[in-house]
Amino acid sequence: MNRGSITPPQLFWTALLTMLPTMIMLLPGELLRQGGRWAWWTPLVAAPPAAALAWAAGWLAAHDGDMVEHARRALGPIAGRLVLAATWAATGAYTIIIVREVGEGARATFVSGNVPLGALVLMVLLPAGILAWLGPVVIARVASLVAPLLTAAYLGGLVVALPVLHIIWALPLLPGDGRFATWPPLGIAWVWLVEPALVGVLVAHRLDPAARRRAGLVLAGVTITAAILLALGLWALVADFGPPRAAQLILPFQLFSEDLPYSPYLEHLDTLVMPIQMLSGLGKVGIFLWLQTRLAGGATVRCWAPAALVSESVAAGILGLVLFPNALAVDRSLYRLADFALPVLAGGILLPYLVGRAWRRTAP
Amino acid sequence: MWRGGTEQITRVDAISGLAQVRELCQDALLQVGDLLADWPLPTDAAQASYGLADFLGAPVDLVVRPVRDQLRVMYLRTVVDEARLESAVLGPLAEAPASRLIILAGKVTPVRTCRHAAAALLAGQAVVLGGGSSGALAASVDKWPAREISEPPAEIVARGPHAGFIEDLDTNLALLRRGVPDPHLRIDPVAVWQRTGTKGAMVYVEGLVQPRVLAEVRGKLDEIDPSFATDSSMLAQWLSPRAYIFPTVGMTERPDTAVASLLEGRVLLMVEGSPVAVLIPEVFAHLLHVPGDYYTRAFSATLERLLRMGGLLVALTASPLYVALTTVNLELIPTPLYISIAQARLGVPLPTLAEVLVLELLVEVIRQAGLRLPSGIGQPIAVVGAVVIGQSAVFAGLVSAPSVVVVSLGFIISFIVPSPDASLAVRAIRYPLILVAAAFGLFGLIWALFLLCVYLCALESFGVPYLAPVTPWRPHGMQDTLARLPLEQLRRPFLARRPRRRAKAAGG
Repeated sequence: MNRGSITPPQLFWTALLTMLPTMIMLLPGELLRQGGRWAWWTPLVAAPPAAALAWAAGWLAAHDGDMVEHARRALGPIAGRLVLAATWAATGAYTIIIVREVGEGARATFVSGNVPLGALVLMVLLPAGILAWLGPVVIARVASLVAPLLTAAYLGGLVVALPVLHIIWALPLLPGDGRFATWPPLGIAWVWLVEPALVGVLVAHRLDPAARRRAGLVLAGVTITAAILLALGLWALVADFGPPRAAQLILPFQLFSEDLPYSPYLEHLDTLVMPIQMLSGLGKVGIFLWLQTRLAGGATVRCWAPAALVSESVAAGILGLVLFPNALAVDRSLYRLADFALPVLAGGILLPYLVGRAWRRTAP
Repeated sequence: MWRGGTEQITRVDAISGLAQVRELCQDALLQVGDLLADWPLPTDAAQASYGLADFLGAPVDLVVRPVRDQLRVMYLRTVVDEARLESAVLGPLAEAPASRLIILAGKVTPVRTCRHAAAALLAGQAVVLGGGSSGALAASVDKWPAREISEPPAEIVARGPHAGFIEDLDTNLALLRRGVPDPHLRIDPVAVWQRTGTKGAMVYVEGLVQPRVLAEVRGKLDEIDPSFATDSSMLAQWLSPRAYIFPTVGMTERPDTAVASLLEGRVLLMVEGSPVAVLIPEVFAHLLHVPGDYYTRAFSATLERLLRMGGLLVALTASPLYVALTTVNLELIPTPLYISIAQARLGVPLPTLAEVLVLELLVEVIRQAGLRLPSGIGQPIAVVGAVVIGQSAVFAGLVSAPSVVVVSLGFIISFIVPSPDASLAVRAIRYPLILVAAAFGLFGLIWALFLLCVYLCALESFGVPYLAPVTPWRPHGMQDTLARLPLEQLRRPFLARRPRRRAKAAGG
């Protein structure tokens, strides 16, 4: 594993890479289905508290060490491990969904032919496992190479699509009753927006010592940036398809790519877009597998990292295939996850830090 | 039958026994040789010269010249300058009074044992035996065959210096000294190969090179124990054993490139007998740079570097992308293009994957054949091989024209990458990419490229990330990576040591 430090831009792109695949695959469809015409307000409304959480997580991690060290120091060996185990379980459930989601996306790239899903899931886990094994420094380098390209492609797609959008369908911008978002989609957006905080508590302490004070700011910036990117995308989707049709799509950006002005030059632009989405998915799975291994190391008394990594990868692959029989089940699981993952993730991150900070201040 | 068999067996036994005796004798001789190695040279010149000649196996170029009573000069005539020997050693010794030894050579060192005297002879020194005292004197009168300084054929520039390193280390160091007339230029001795005593030099500019990199290089040189290294290129392999695909040390035969590298904060390793300088550290961006970049306008240099980067990507993905699009992701190809490809493939017996793999191997074989042939006929053979065989194969319906176009394009473009190691790496990586693309289409290609990206991100050259300054991002390093700013805007290279603030303040 590579032992070194990372830079603030690398932290930014690492956190953004964790958010990109969900942002361009399952999340838009779910938010549009539940939020309707004004779904694009949802990430913007959910962003400020998520950014505050990310800022706190980053600031504390940069000053007190990562969550694994700090939770046990602040809460004691038993309570600390319980908190880490709870976070491990919540992120584990999420990892399973992500692995299955990326595998399903990979299968969508095969218009003809029938490739076994198990083989595709294995293909997803192999580079992701290698990435997780190489550790946060290499993850950060890969992220700062891949995430800017993906972000540029995403924004480029939105800009190119401008001439074909029906702006009138996305107007008025403000809802008449003043309700920008409803609770269920806000919960889903929150689960997604809490990802930078999760990355922050485990990675921010690897920043150069001189740059650590900027960790909170960087993570809050990622949260806001991702929320804006998603809001722009959702708005464009509504303007492209119209609210009723947009609410019925599972993978709206895939269909959106078909409407781009250059799509006639390639017969199926969606099969070009899907592998690019997979690229972000591979990075995200790698990051989550590493987070899982790190948390497992903190939650258990003895943990051999390679064994933990391999067993978690295998478990994520098998459970992903067993628990979700089809793409729709993966889609629905994201919504269900919001019900239990939200309290566990938020509590698992914030609680040990707040208690730990309070204890350290009162300790002699 | 029985008798003849016995005779045969006896003869075989005799031959075998003789071989064993010979082997034992050779072992004994080697042991005697080892004992002789540490034998102190006697005061008697004749006795010393016999012992020394025995130790070296009495080679044909060994000369023993009696100068006067009890004084003999030994040397290997193939590696000494006989005129200098006459004027600096033999002449003065003959003319000197009997009680005195006069030698006019620049460097005279005493030698005590047979081993040291032999090493001196092999280094081109003349050994003066006798003279009334124990041991001998070694006078430096060496003359090694050396070629003239000329432009290295692999690194030719249209505009700029046309000098190249040669096989003489001192000449190479002189070329570096001329390029970097800086009191901070350091040239440290390096023992490259203990067995032959091959000497080398580690060159760097103190204050510019990062101490961490210098420590890494020194540590690595101490760590390795080459069992075979007679050239810089071999030393480079010892220094970067894990660089399986892409090179993590650079190499050049051009003094101007070496000088620029020194001023960039890199370390140079040079070996006696090799015209190649090893440059440390090497990052991915260096693979796209050529010396000519700095002798043209910034705009042209930037454009050419972008072309090289684009060429590298095309060379890497042309064949795999073609296979992915024509075997798995057919839906991506516009209908008119698909029809023309399908028409061209009519009657071709091989599937696209096999067709492309065969063509890739074929062009590689033709290239290898062209390299092995004399330069006069290598070029025509390569052209005939490529054009005639390719065209005939298409006419015969063995391969399709689009496949020939794509494979040839990828092959030719791979040479746009200036570094031969990187060019070879690109061509080698194409094979697994083609296989994955055939099995999993675009997804497989993206998957494999992601793995390559992870590999490159994990790779380091003596502690420096291989993809620096892109990742980790070093903004000041981007001035001379893909783009090249005008010379007046170039600031401290990203590999160079950051100047201390105090020194900076004092200087400014």
